Amino acid sequence: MTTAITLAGVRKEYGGFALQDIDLELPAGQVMGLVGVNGAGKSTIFRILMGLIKPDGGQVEVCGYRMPQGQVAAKREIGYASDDMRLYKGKSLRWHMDLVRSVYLDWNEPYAAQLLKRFDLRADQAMGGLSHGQRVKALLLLSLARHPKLLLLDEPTTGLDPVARGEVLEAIAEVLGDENRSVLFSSHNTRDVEQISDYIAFLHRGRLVAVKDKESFLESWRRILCQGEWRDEIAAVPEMVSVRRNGSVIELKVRSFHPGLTARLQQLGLAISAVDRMDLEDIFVTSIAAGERQ
Amino acid sequence: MIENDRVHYLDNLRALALLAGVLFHAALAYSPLMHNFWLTADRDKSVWVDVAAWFLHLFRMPLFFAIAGFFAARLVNQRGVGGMLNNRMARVLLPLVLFWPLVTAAIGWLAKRAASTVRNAPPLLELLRQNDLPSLPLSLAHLWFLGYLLLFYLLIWIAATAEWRVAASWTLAATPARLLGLAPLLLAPALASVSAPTPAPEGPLPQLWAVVFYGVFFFFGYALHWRPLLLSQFRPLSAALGIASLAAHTAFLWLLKVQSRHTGAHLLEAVLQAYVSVWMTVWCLQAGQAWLNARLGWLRYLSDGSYWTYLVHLPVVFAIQFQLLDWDAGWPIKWAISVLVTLTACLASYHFAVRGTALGRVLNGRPGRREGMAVTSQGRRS
Amino acid sequence: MTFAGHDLQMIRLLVVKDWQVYQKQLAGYLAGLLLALSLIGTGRTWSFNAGGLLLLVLLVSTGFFAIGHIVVNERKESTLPFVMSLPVTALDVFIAKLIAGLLIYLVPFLVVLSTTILLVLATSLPDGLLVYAMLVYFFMFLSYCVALCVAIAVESEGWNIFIQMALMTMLSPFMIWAGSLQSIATNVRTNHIVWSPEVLSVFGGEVLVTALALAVTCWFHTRKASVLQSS
Repeated sequence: MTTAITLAGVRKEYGGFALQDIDLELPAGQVMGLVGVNGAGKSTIFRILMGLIKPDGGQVEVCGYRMPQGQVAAKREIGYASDDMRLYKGKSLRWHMDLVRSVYLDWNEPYAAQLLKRFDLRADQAMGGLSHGQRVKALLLLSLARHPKLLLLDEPTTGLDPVARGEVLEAIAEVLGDENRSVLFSSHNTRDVEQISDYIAFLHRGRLVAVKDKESFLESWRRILCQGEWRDEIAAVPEMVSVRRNGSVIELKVRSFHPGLTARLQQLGLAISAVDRMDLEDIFVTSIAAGERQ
Repeated sequence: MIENDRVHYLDNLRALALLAGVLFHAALAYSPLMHNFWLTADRDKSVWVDVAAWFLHLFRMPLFFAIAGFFAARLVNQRGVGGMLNNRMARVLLPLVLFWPLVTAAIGWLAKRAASTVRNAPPLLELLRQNDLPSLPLSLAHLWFLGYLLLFYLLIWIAATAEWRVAASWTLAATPARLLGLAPLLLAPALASVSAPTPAPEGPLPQLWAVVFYGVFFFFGYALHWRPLLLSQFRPLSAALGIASLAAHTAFLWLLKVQSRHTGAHLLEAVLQAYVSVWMTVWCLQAGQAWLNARLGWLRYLSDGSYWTYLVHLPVVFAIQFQLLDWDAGWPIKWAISVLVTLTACLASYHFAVRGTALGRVLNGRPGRREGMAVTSQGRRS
Repeated sequence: MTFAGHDLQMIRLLVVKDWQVYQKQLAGYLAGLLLALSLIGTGRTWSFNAGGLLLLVLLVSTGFFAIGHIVVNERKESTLPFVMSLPVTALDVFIAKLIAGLLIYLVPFLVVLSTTILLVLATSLPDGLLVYAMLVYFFMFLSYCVALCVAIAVESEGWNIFIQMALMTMLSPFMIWAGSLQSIATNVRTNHIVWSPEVLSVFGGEVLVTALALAVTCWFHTRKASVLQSS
């Protein structure tokens, strides 16, 4: 299996923030959602991947090119859009399309026209007059119309209204029809990530808290409701991440869930009333909160 | 109006305007008003030359610029602003760069030679002879119009790039009454800032009055391209425009004769000149459209040779008129000889030495694209 | 096409891009320059002075706004991430910025310079003025180059404005100092164009400072690890 992205032991430190020992692999043809709160280091990872920031240590490889040395060749294969990326206000979308087309030989004009229509954009409109949603869609159009092998999208859905968010996610999902194309996108909206990702990576305070494929990730977390008397041994169970008590009702959140766990809890005197799967947002908040406590 | 991609009446008007230019420059030698400022000023002069020549002068160049504006608009329409500029670089800038040194050197050489050979030297030549004027001041001579054309083409680029739509909305708002009644009043301050009759703005730098005055005609022509029906609206006024222009010109000449130093008189002269310029330019354009809108063989040939003829005619006129200075004959004969010999020499040299050569291709465009000459013909004009 | 590891095609494209981004403003400045030239060409004392002043003001402000528009705004308006997303190296972007900045300034600069040469040589103005005018113009060019280099190298907008203001205020002391040079003071009102060793050494100094500013910025850029600030 070839990888689209490989980060090995990547470190970067600046002004009170440190990205520490990042090991991350994105197999080709997969979508990875990078989840983290603001300031977790998501944008820094994207900039390192684009060769715009040189890491203090570790190795970075994108589309088979070592970064930042191979950035020119790598960037020919990458479509990159970030939340802080703006287009030239006084120029039209057409002008930007022509600029990008003159750089990339594989620019697909009919597809660009199709995207224009689909995103409800006007090519002759100056960028200065675009709304945030239109700007994001314009950036996405400029990336998608040249069929990049890897899409790096830093917070593409942040600040979008539900309709625009739906259009953007749909367009990203469509890219995945092509097995050779990979996507890494970041968001602090876990619902977006859950909707389209194959892989999920949690980033917190410059560290990767978890990286897994979505299904086994969701499969490994459970919310267990039980009743009984509280004992300290319950908190000492290795899988335990969060405990909430309300009288005799106890809510437990566990990772690496396995059927033997319920038996173990029963042995500790708890009567289990429900074992539920958790959604990603719940998992995210729980794991971040657990990380804070540590 | 437009047939085989040629606008016949503008082609023909251009050829006539060229002829007017040669007639005008040849007549200045016999103009009392120009006697002290013209290199070939003759002993025999006539006030009738002033009457006719300065009348012609008031609309000869405005007409050139209006036609140039029309063809610039056509080029922009067909090739975009960049295409128009590329075309104009070849047809206007290149001839200016090629011919300006030649024409200036030829005039300088002829003047120096005449200063030492002519017995009846006019005042300007006398100055040269006495070495009071060590050399002629830097000037574009009669090729100044090429410089202004380039400036106006640049202004088109500027207006298009900076997205100034004001000029366009003005011209689109123009009605016949506004054009004939108000436009001249806007031009009058420009004319009032210089002496009357207006001098040729031949210095190396553009002059504000000329930029405004000729620029207005150029952009009128430019607008005309997008309002092809505008001219026909002037047709009912044709006779009135002609008569009013003659009357205004008569009043202008009378004011000149009175030689009032009063500012008001000078302003009035400017207003009268402005009205004659606008009215007669419009008259020529609508008359051309009414009467000359067909392929006329002799005019067509003249039109083809016109750019070359106009570029080189002044040194030829001077060469002939220097020879005539010491000849005791009346001004009409001398004038007729200088015109005829100049036109014959220029057209013959065009026929035998320019047409079909690389130079001919620079001036007239490639032979294979003759049908498109109306588009590119501004470069050959005046 | 590459040269010494630089993608010339991309550099050309970025220069054209900057030219097009600034084109609208440049068109306005060119219109202003034409007005200034027309005023000078009119030949009256008031119009000559007004035109001359307008010419210099436009030249200085073109430089100021060119730097603001193509260098500072690229960061301020966050268009730099877009540029950097193209297959270019930071060094190529820097080279393109430098070329575009110089090119944009050279258009009005050469118009003003050639007009001055034409005016001094073709009118009754003393020809000796030419040497003095050249020294002053090259000082203005030097100021622009230094300001451009600082803008490219230093990301702080406040520092950029400070440097540009400082360079502008140095113009008039430089004019007074250059006017007091022996060979300038002697010949400025005559028709003698004298390139004395003194004048040539000032020119040499101006060229040296310009080259130094460019070299230091290049060196600084080759060592720069990150194009975009981490956040």
